[in-house]
Amino acid sequence: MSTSIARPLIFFPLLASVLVGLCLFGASADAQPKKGGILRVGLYNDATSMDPGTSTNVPGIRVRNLIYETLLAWDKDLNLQPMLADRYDVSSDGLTYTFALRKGIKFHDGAEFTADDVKFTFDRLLKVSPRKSNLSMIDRIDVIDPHTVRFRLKQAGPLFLQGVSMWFSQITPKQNSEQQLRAHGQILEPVGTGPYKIAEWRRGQQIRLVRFADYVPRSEPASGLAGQKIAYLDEVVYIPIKDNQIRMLSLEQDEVQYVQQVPPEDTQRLAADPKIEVKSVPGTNWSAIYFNTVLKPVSSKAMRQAIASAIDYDELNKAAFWGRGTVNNSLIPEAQVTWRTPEHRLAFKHDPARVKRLLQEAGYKGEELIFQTSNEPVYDLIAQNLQAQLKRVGINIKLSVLESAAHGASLYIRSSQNKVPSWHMGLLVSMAFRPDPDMHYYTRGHSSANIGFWKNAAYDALVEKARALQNVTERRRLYAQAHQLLIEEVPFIVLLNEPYIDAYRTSVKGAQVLDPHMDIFWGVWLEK
Amino acid sequence: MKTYVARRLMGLLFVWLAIATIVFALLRFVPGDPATILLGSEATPQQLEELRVQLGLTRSIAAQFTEWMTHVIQGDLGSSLLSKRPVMDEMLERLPRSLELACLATLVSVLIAIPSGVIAAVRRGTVWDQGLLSVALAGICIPSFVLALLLIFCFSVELRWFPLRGYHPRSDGFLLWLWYLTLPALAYGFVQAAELARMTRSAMIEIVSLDFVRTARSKGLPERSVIYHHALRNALIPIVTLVGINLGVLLSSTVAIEYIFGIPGIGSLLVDAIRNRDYPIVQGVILGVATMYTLLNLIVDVSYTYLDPRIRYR
Repeated sequence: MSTSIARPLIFFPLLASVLVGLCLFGASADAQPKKGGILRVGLYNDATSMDPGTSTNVPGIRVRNLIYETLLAWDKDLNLQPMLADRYDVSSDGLTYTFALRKGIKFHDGAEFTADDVKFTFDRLLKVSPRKSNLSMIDRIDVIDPHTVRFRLKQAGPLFLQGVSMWFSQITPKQNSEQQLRAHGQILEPVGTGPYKIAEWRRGQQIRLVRFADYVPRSEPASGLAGQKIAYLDEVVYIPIKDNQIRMLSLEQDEVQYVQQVPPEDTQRLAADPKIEVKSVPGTNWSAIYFNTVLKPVSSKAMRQAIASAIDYDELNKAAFWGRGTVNNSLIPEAQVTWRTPEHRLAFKHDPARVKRLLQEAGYKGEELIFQTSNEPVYDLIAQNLQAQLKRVGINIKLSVLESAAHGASLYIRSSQNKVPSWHMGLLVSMAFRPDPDMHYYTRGHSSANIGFWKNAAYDALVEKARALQNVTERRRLYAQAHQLLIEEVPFIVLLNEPYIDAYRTSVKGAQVLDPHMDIFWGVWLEK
Repeated sequence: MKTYVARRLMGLLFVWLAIATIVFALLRFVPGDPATILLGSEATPQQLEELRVQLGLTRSIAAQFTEWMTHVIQGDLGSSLLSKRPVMDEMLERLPRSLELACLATLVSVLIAIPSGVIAAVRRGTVWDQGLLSVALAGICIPSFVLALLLIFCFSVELRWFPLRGYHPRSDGFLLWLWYLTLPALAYGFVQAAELARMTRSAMIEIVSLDFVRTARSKGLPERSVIYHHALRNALIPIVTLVGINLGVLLSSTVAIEYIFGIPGIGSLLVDAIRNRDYPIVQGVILGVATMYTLLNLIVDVSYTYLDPRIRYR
């Protein structure tokens, strides 16, 4: 079904989103759900650690989504809904948040979930979490009674509620965590409140989760990460299979029933198998070219505009993602409905005549531009295609290809060493989705943070104002303006959104394929 | 003999120290930093700095090295930056799997290579010889990961005799363990066998033309006994050396096969750690593998005295 979705998607984004919506709901309209069975999932890489406090390992984050819960959770439209907290009250100055916690909730070790666990979790996060600066607005946490907890903030703003709802803010049990920390100095065994608990973890081989018998689902309908979570499956077994081809073969042979991140080139073959369902949804991860705005000739706005107009984005989409990506020059993907206003459709236009004019204006004489990229597969495809495209309009690119960690070091040399990069252009692939626009608009563009040393006072003012406001409508307006500024000034070019493709055996029912990628295997059942 | 082994072990200490220093220094000079990898692209300079302090990466390289060495001497290799587990635990968990694979592959290569090398040498110039040489040449040319994919296609996808991938420890049952390791061992063993068969052939050709073989034949020994007891025994020294080297190479190069067959061994641990700049793991694994490699060489050298009693070490 999904391949037929992906095609019109390129031409009719609106129709496509309706179709995707239909097939998401269509899945739940199948026969009656039944309990039982084991779902084996081909995980694309190994989970190294599952401690919410210290780990940023992505495969681990996916598995953790079934084990742990947060105070609030994102629904499928990326609005915050209650999860471990039933509701919250905000003081009029926006500095005090009081959460009323769910009662009668148990951790996997049998301990009751209380306000002490919330305080313990955040106190620990503020000390050890690699993402603690996302929570740095928290001043202190007070336990009011076993089911009420109060957060006192240093500054008001929308980032607090988002911070406590992210994967790095999952609640861990005080008593059990303290025991583990005393014994090992680390939290090695995941214990949460989620619908599945860990039964066996053979590192590098498999992670076996079983249904948590004492889990009490919420009453609201299931949506994204929020609402009712009913565990139909007896077990969810994650098997790391790093090789793409072998992972696809494992699905075809029914050794696993669900695989994530299907390479675009394999979708057609898999979809031809009547026993396999392929679901392709518009992705939220994006790729971009950064400009080093203090290095000639890309320090000239005309030069950057010329490059933006020289690119045929549809061609790039075909070259890198077999046409399954979504061309989009905004930091906000189409799927992010809360923030995507019509202004974000404003895009760069492929216009060779304009390029010629702009190159003249910039005084470009064919100098070689250094394009910093990595040897990872998709990087290769994007960089080589861009090199060829720019060559056609007379812009000479020299690729500087490094292994991924070295590429990262070169790209982020400003944030790590406060040095000016040696490249003219740098390639970023697969920037992960962020639920709040601030996490991209501020970090990618504000003069204090962006990696290309771009400075624009008007832009800085916009994103500073937007991060201090609570009002969504007002913030939307500011980010729309920020987008227009980015298209005009071109400090970077957001190229396109990657496709997000999962595939599973037709025996798997009720699967929600959503991007941002999170594993939602509650509400999923197996038909024999 | 004892003094020889003692001297070699002393030498090992220096090799080991040199490797430790080089690996430690190289890792610090390679661009890329664990803090950036752990925090991802939106990390602010302040976040990065905080994490580097937390990980102890802000001190001078000399101070970091001294601290690491002090711990290593006490048998503590530190903890992974990513999984937070002790390096020793990670290694001890994964090393046996790579060892099992390497030993099985070596067994496969010996079982294939020695008989075929001997046959090729004895029937030199015949169709047998030509045929075996051609197969061996193909074996040397084909990379093991290509062979692995071919084997998977034939035996897992088409015939479905063997599982596609995965690993079961022996505690799950010996046959299950063997069933899962067969294809990886074949993929590795065959490629190793090719080189070994050629070596066996040339060593045997050299030996069978020597006087003592003629003597053995002329005193009426059956041909089988001449070849296997007299000639092969004398040709073993280069063969054993190669088997030993191969085993060492296998241990450090099982990465591709581990990756394809999903065997969580030491090779994949090392490669992942390098990608993630997980310094403690990289240092620990390289030290461990280097130690095994040098010990293996020592064992090979010592085994010469048993193969050829004329060899004495002082």
